[in-house]
Amino acid sequence: MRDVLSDAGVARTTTLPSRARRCVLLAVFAAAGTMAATVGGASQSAFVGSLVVLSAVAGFSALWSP
Amino acid sequence: MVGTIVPVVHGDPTARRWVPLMAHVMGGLTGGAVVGAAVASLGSATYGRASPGVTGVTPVLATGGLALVLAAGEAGLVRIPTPQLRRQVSQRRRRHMRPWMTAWLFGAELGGGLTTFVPVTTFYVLLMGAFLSAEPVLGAVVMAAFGVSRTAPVAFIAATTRDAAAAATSADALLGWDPLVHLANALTLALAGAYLLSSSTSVP
Repeated sequence: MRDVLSDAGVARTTTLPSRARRCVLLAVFAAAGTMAATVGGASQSAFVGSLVVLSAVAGFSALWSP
Repeated sequence: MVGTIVPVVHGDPTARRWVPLMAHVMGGLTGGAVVGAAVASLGSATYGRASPGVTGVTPVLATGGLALVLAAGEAGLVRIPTPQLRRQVSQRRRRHMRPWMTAWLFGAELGGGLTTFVPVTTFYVLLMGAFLSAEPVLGAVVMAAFGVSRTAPVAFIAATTRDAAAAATSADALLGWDPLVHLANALTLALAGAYLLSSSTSVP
């Protein structure tokens, strides 16, 4: 279906960065998270905040359900 | 997924569109809150009771660890098998119920997330966080946020398109972005996972 849509100019299939770049990206984001924890410390509101952010991302991503 | 709610909104040209749209988002909020509270209550009744005194660090550590593992999976670096239901919301309801009621039920089912297909594994981190927190209010807040953020974009598409066919075209145009959606989830999981793991060392 995706090919048909691409041919029709409706959808454009995006390509991912290479495996190595994805590893680097993950490492950068993990390092940022570690730094944020060092600066911000631990609290229950931080735990809830993290989960709420993940909720927002997961919920929005569900728009891509078939 | 857009194909479920949009026909409800556009089905009756004489009806006010905002009623089913609001009902859909409110259904997502309610469904998410109920599932979150139920999962956390289950955690409270099992894990919370069995392991008193460890509820401080364990949820943060376990949730962070799971987030990091699933980040690698979402980035396509490793293959992680996860349970997945290939079910969508029931289309039959549309013929038997009022539009606002159908929209609310669609929203409730989507917002709860347990009975429908969820394309990203980030959802499991939410469930684990709610379960291990063993606090129904916390679980309800987290999953209600999931329910609203799952239903609100669908409602937005339905509200800003002329008819069901235009909404379907908009939804189809999103398909090509699927790989980047998984990458965005991977990066958010890595960020939150590392944050939770690092902060778990300073949990009292």
